[in-house]
Amino acid sequence: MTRKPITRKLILMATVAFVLSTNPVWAQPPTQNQCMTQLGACYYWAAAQAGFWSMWAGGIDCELAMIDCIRRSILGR
Amino acid sequence: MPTPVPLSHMPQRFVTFIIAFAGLLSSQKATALQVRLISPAEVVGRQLIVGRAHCAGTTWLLTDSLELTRVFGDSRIAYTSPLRGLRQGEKPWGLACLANGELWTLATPHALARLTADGHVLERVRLERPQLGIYSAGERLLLQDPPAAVGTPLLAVGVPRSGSAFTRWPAPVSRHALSAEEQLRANFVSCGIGVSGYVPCWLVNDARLAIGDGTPAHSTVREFRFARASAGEDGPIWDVALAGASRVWVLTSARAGPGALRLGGRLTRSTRLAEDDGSVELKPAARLIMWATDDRCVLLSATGQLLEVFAP
Repeated sequence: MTRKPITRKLILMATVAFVLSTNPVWAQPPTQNQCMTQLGACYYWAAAQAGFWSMWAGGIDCELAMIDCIRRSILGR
Repeated sequence: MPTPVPLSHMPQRFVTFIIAFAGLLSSQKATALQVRLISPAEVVGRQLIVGRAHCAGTTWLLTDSLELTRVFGDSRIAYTSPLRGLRQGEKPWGLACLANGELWTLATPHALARLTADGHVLERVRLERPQLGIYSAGERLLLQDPPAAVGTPLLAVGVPRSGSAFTRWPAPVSRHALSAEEQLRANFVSCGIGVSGYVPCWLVNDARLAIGDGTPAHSTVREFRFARASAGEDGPIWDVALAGASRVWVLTSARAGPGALRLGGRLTRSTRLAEDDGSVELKPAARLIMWATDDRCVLLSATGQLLEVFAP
């Protein structure tokens, strides 16, 4: 009969210790290398679009996304 | 008769004393500042802050987790609301609050979005050209254009919904760069907290600060040398707040914090003449300035709490 309360306490203590041991993760501003890698992948996607204008619009969207990525890496606080 | 004292000796010693005393006074002009924690509660977590605006005693923060936080300056109480009404794929950037209480962000490079105090998208305004940044200038918006010709102003000012009726903001101006990527990086503008229609803006890799109200006659660009002296690898000036008639608070020494988040490590109390009126190393480091008065500056620390810097 005494084992159950002890077991529950041990489980509770282990759970609390586990939670306390984990650190909340900081938001990671992107690195500029990541931004350029994403740009390359996006260009690949844009090139696969059907039709010239879709490709062109896709390319512009890729560059705007790259600018946003670099902006977050430089100005994000 | 008593022997007269030679008059040539007394002025020399007197002058020497005056010079020494004046030197002592001038060396004490830069006042040592102090820091204290004024709010232990976490105002903002570890999300990336992508927009900050201050008006009417309230500071607004926009994070990349699509949350809007407002912090009241008098009570220091913070309220956080999720953004609602965004369209698929929208990643808001920047925040501006106008004198009439309107809150605006760039929902996309091509669209402004007006937000309510609890984060609802109330209105959208289509932009003719993509914009890179948004800041407050009294009752008007400051928008940053992509860099064009070298030496051209990077910012334009106007009221929302006015379409093409935005006028050039004198400074800062675009800089030359060797590559397209460097051109982008070298020409990102950041603006701090303004006062009475004056806004401080700077290029992220520059120690020169432009302060103006949009008119060439009332715009100045000065190098804040103390910022360059304590510069981090990514740029001398991290944040700026104007206060009163001439007070300028400058947060410098941007350095990498946890998760590569950049932080400001030193706060200097300065003036519009770029004088050093005292500084303090910040521990913990600060993410940004929340608000400032002539003799006090409140910052958001890396731990998410509010710090106050003041002269004792």
